[in-house]
Amino acid sequence: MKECCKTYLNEQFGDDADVVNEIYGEYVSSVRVKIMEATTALTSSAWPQLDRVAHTVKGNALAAGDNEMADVAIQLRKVAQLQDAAQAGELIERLNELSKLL
Amino acid sequence: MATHEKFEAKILVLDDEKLIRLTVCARLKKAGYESIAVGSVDEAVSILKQHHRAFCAIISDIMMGDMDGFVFRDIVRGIDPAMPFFFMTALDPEEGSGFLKKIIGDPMSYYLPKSAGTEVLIKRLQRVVGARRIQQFVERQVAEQRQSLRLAAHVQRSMLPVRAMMDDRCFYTTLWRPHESVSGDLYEAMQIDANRWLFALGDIQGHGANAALVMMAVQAFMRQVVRTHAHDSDVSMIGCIANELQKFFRANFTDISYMTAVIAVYAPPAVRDPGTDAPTGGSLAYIVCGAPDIRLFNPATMQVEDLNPDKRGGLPIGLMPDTVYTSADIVQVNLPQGAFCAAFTDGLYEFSKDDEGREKMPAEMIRKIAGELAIDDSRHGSIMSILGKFSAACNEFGYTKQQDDVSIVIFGVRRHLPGIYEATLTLSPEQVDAASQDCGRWCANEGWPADLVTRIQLVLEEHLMNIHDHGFDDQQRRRDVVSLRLRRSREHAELTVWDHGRPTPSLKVAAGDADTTFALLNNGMSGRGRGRLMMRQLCDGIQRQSFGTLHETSFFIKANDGNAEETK
Repeated sequence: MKECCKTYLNEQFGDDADVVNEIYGEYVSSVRVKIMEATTALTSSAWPQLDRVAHTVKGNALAAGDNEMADVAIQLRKVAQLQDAAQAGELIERLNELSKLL
Repeated sequence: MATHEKFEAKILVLDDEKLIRLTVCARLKKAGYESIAVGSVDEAVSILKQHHRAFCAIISDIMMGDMDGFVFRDIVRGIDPAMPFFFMTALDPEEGSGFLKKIIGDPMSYYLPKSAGTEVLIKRLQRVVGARRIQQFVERQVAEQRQSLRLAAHVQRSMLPVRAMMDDRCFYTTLWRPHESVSGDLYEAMQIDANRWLFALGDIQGHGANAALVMMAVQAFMRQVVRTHAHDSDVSMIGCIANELQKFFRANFTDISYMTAVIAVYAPPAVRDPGTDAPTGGSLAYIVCGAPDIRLFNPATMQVEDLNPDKRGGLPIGLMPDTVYTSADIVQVNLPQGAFCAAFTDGLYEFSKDDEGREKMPAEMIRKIAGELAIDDSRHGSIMSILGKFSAACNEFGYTKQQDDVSIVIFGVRRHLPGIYEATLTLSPEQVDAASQDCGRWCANEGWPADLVTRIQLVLEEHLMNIHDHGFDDQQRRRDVVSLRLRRSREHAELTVWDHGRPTPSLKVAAGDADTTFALLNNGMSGRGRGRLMMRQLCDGIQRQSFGTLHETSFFIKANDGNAEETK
């Protein structure tokens, strides 16, 4: 479990390991799904869709205490709104890298 | 982590992301809240429609796949306008989407960032839900208090005499209208002996529950005093009642309350043959203790007259410690032929101020009542309908801002009009039967055909018993009074009944449409079934009107049954 998430979730949910594990597990799987959706949206230049996916990743990352992932998602929202494909591609790749650390 | 208070009520969590639902519910559970999480607006609306009272707050996302969180809030407001609604969102308030403005546009909506930790979430929730609980508690208390006041009003009403009465020699009719549920006004109408009636009207200082409690005590005490002095002369009796009440107030309510009052003894003239007016309007003795004076309507002049030009009377009862009422305070007058008197509490002045604050209703009121009573062509109301119609008319004229309890007592000589039967009765099977018999005897004396009399009696009994069985709750039924009038044209006997039964929509139905009328009249009122068919066969038409809580129902009963019997 990523250290920052572990710290945050333990702080929020105490010693309830079942809850912590359930939330973290859901976070990991949801982030991977959302990164795939982001890639699809970028490929088809569906900018509002990319914006929405980035927003969801941001919310989920904050809920799991993964501020690093949340920061990248925030940047992705901004470039999606600017319809900057190159920047968006880089940020999605960054998200992908971070997800491998989970 | 602080230990939080346990709550029974649930919180509805709506987010299309499972992770958010999981984290929010886990936080709520840890803080002692039970929650239900759903992933779609449709699901949330379905649950709320069935069980919204089970929830004390909603936590919802804003940006969701199937619907905007604000649209969801609009739906919720249609179900529960005061449900606390938390928007939990990852949106940044500085993004400029204006979502914060939309949130605070609703007074029961709140913002929660998704990054907020458990402590922040729970603290905000507790504060809002706590306020909601207090509000609900207060609303429950107010509702319970209102219910208690309604019951108290029933009890208080049961202490008062019936609202109208008519015998062979005199009549009285009353209006008793509390400012709130209960009243500090009282009235008394009591036959002292064969020739005299006592009428009294009192207005306890203030209004509301404290005045109502004093009113109950005074009413009971006054009855005892009247009985004790029932054999005294008019002047002696009035003086004794006023002075005993003064002592009662000073002994029990010093510095708490006092009462303005009118106490009157009325001796109506002897009964004359029907069709002739009595030679006088009877005699009246009364005292005014700080209340508005009795007004007299003289039918000969059509004017409202002052009975007390010397301004006799005394201070309000119980106001000053050393007040003694003497015979010099008492007014004694012989009333003109056909006259009637009106006593009222000063709440009527407050009630009847016009836009410029001038008090103008009492004289107009007397004239309006006089118009109702001037039943020379018999088309106007009965004694019981007068004040009900007056009250409704006041509302129509815009006199709706009642500031105080209002009570009116009208009394005077009974007028016997040729060809018209009038009566009042309290509703009970025995009284209904007696009224039917009395009505039948009168019709027979008038020479009406026997089969018509039978039809009249059937309609009368059926209608009165319908009111008795279905028109009142228990408390009212015991005390309430109806009045009736019967007259005759060539084609019909017209029977009109006035009652204060359960309100129904006002309607007028042309003759020949009895089916529709009775379907409406019987709607929810009669389970017996026989009445509708019988009425349809007996009546050509029915008219029904409502004046506030007063209902006026006229039955046009066929004067012959089709067997060619010539009617009178």
